[in-house]
Amino acid sequence: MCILVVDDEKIIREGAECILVKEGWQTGTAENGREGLNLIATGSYQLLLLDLMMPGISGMEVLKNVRQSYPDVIVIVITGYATIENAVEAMKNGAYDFIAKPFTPDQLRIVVRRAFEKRDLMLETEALRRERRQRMQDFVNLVSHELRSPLNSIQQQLFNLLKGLAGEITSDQHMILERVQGRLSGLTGMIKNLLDVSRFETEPFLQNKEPVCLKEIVQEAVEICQDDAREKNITIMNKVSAKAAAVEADRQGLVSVFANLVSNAVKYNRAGGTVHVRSRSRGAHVEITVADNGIGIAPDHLERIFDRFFRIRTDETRHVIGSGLGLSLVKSIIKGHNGGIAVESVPGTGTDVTVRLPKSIQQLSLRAYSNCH
Amino acid sequence: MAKILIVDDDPDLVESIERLLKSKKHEVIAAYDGDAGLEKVRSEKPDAIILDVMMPGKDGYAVCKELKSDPDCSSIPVLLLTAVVSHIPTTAYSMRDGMEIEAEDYIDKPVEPDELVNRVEELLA
Ligand SMILES: Nc1ncnc2c1ncn2[C@@H]1O[C@H](COP(=O)(O)OP(=O)(O)OP(=O)(O)O)[C@@H](O)[C@H]1O
Ligand SMILES: [Mg+2]
Repeated sequence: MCILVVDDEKIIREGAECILVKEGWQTGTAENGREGLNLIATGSYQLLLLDLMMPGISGMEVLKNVRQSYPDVIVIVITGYATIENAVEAMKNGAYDFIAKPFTPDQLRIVVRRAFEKRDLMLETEALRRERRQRMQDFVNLVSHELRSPLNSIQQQLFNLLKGLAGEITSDQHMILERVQGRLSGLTGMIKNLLDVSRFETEPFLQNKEPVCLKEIVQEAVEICQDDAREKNITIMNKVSAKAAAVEADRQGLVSVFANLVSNAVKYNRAGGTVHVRSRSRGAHVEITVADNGIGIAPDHLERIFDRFFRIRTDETRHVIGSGLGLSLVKSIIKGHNGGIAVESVPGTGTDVTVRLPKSIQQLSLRAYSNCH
Repeated sequence: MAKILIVDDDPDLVESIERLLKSKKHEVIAAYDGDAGLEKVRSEKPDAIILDVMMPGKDGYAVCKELKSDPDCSSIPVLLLTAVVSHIPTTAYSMRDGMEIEAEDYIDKPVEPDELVNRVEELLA
């Protein structure tokens, strides 16, 4: 373990160094912020003892810089008794602890030891998290290859049978094979949804967030559902305003959200029905509503439709293929965007599902508008 | 009539695509892994290659990269067979990866027969 002491007072640097070395820790010293940052950049230090009051770059600035560029380095600030408010501010800026001047050898030892313990815990947590992510990734790979490949292969062969490439088939056989095909694509869809659920639950979204144009996202989602809609003669209308505020989002996540909502609005609709998607500004939020005039949802089921694998079983839904994962996926993606979702439904009349997302900050939204077309 | 090479580790899938293309009077040859695929490209000089992305050992991306950097083979058009792992998201990824490694086209499995035939015709044109 290597500790860097940054202080403009020689006596503090040498005193601290003397105490720390006696404990078996390695140390280095710097007499101003610039020199300190250069040493931190070498990557050899895990802990920084940082004086807040120095000429040149202030300790606070060094602290902010280190927190941002070297998040693994733990910072303990050194302050005078008179400037305890500085210590409070430093903690707000990510310092782990502070020690007031003058300090006794024991005080220093305790603070440093505690900081190292915390660092060990942090690293352990990170390692566990990484392991978990890796296991999930392995699982995803397994499922996607070992389960999808045979499914693809089966579907491919069915295509040939249906095309008559292995001889003429009767219309009865054709009908049966088509039913098999329907179930198979349901299964494929379920695997996709399952993988998405695990992906969105284990991976934080923050890495992929960018300002996106909602009208565009909804359009992509609508197109995904268009084939199913055409089959039932259902009209889907994307009425989302091109001027709807941009949101900061994982693009593919949001497409998944609206593809699932529009897909439901089509699947649980009657032949000739309609699906309208519209937007509305509400203070700091944008609301997107997917409205259908389909079969609706009974009040006592409303609460459960977001549960994983929950499906309503009635005569109207029995023939609809699905796995009950769509809305749970939608919910976890929306949660990852600090948004909300609400459902209003009248059985027999239709369902409105409203997603609420925080608007992106102004200048970002301007950029998204110009990308919109 | 053209000579088409299919490279896929799944023999059933190879058989079904083979059957389809043969019904369109194409000559079809097959390889069941990346290295065998590369060998067949060089010995048979097919007019087009249908290449699975996910294969154990040398995957389709690696095979395609190798082909495209070999002046003797780089002009043979490649159609990548991709498998969408999760909902819409990876379609975009598959496309991006496919474009990055300079395959001529890509298509998701399972492949609708008419669609596949069309894509192959386009490659050959
Ligand atoms: N727009 C809607 N109108 C009527 N019922 C709906 C609507 N959306 C969802 N539901 C009901 O809620 C249940 C759960 O929906 P969810 O999207 O989670 O799963 P699914 O559509 O059954 O399957 P999946 O989306 O995984 O293919 C559905 O089975 C259906 O009964
Ligand atoms: Mg659904």
